[in-house]
Amino acid sequence: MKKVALVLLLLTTLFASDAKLASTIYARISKALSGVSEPKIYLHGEIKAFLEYPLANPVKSCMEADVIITTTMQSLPIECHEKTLFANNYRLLRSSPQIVGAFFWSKGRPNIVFYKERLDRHGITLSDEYERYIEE
Amino acid sequence: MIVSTLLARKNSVLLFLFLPLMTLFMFILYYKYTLTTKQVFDVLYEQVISEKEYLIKNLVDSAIEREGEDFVHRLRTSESLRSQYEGEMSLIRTKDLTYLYMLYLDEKDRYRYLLDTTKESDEAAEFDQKFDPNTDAWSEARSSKKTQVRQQLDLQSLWISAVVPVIVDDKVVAYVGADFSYREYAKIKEIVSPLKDIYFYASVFMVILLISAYIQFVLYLQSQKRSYIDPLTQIFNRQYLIEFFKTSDIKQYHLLILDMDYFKSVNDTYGHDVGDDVIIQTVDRIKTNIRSKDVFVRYGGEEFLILLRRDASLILKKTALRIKEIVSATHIISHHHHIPMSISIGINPYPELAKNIDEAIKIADEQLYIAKTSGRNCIRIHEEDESEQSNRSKRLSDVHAALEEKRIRLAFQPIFNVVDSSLKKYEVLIRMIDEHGILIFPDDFLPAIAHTSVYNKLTHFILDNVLIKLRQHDDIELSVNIDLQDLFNEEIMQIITSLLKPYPTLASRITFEILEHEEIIDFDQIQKHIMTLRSFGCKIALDDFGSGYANFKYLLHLGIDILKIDGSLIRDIDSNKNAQIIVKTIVNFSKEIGVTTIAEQVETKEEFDKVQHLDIHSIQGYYLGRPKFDIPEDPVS
Repeated sequence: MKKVALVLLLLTTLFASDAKLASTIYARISKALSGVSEPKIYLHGEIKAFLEYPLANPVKSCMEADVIITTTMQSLPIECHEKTLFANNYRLLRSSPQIVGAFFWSKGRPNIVFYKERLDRHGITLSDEYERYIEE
Repeated sequence: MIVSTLLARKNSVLLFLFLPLMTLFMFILYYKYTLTTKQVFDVLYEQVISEKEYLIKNLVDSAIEREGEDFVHRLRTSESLRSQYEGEMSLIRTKDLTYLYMLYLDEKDRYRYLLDTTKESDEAAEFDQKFDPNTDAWSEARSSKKTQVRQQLDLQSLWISAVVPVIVDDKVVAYVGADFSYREYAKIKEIVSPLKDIYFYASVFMVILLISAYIQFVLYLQSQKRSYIDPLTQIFNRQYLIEFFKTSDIKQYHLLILDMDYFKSVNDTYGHDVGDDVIIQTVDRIKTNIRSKDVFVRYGGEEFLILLRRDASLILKKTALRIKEIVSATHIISHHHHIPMSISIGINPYPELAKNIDEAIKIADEQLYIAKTSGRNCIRIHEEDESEQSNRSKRLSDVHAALEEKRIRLAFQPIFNVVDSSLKKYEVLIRMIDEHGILIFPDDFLPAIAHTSVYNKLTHFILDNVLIKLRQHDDIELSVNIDLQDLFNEEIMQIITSLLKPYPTLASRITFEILEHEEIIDFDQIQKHIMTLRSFGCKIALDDFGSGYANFKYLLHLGIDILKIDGSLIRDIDSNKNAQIIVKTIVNFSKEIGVTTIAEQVETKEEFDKVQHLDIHSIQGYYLGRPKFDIPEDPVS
């Protein structure tokens, strides 16, 4: 059921703006990664979607965060590298082994990718609804 | 009822037909426009897609031809080959094509990039990168092996996407994705949208116009309602009646005219506040005995008109009786006064038989008048049938024509003065000569024209000619008959006043003989009118004394000059002892109060001799002379 819900969220974006969709997906993925209903999120870098639809539970220090959403690894305190990191682009995901997954736009379409090995390293088990987004 | 009356007006057609039709028309235009726009896009859509599909298929066929059936495998294993084909694909990527790429399906049924012509670094996909499809076009292309096209309603930057399957040996080995830019769509939309806006705003304008017209109409109805409602009683007024008759079939109604009895004295005794209150309470009582489909109108001050809708359940007489009785059932209490009230009702049961509506009302009014003069608090119903009404109507036209064609003639019957044995007074009698020259007597045509304008014209004609005769014969007097009801008729009194007031010398030679058919109730009124006639110098005679309603009470109250003893007492007076005694008594009583007497219908020498010895002042009858159209130049003295 949950699987269907996420697919529907990705598919059913009629009348919703890209920003709203992105913000919603980030929020859902943060919950899934942290395993808490109201995860503390640290935003590293700038993501336009959050300007319009801000994060629900942001924190000012990456150390306090359950999930770090990042646009770059530069200037992210080293002590936060072991936190659950989630990126906003595919290239960053590919180049930074600390990052467990990414949400990005590819050909105007929303895409989600998780790497299984990185999730396992953080002891994260995602529910079935994310199965189709997990890469070996 | 007001709405239906107003809706019957022609200009309502504009509101109830034209405006809604115009609004509907605008919406149809708007809908048609939307449909046409869609068709335009469909054509464009087909055009754009089919052109690109053709180019893509050519490219793919050429690649397969060159690389063989393991075309996909070769691409997956050779970066240089991918680079070569990305270059070739880029050639067909024009401005309107945002993305052009090739995917393959891996073992886990996930789409992955094989080729991508996107050069922008943040948008370009890497080889083997996973692709999350957002429509079923990909799976459909796989199963149908045909190009699939989808409109990207859920993506802001894309308009339509096409998925072209790459088929080798009847097997789909890859997919070419082509995403068309929204910019093209937006450009076309921009061109046509002003037209769409025009249709849309015109439709909205028509709706607003329609709504405002309806609001205006409701306001108009309200104001019309106010103008149709009597402010005191809250029932319809006379203005409404005029509108009602324009749009309604009178055949469906019985016509009743009601008048509150002695209402003037209520006003005089208790004041207008109480009078108004009594009217309101009377109306309220009447309302409880009529139905919503009946029309209740305040016709005058204390006069009302009811149109009772005819149906099987309505019994006219019973309803009228119920209305009459509910008004007089209990005293009306107003400002601590207990006021008895009753109404008189005149009914024209079949108003459609009358020549017109005024005539129909007049007939009911006549019945009301009779009800009033018959003691009030009663109902009178007009019993005339259709043929009678038709005859009456014809007679009215006859008299009117006779007046126009000077076929109304005055006849003069001499009245012999016993005292000075002179013949210097005549009774004026009226005759009509019909189209065939036949003489018509007044009893045959006067009832038909009573209470009509023809009657007033005839009155004017008679008095006019009487004055002419008096001028021609300066030594005679003329006696003119006047109906008691004429004295209550303002128009008749106006005619008399206008003709006689300026000529007191001539007027002093006129005697008005009052004829009455009903008992006089309101002596004060009669006296007032008689005083008016006397003020012009006229003398007043009471006709047919001793028969019917005329009695001694009249003699005492009316202040008359002459008493005309009824012909039934004079006839056979020479042989009838009782008649002699009655006439003697009348003559003696008259002498006592200073009233002179005339004996009429004296037809024999015996009657003449007898009457002469009874001390009667004047004698009239065929024995002395029949009515003639001319007065002799030298009347016999």
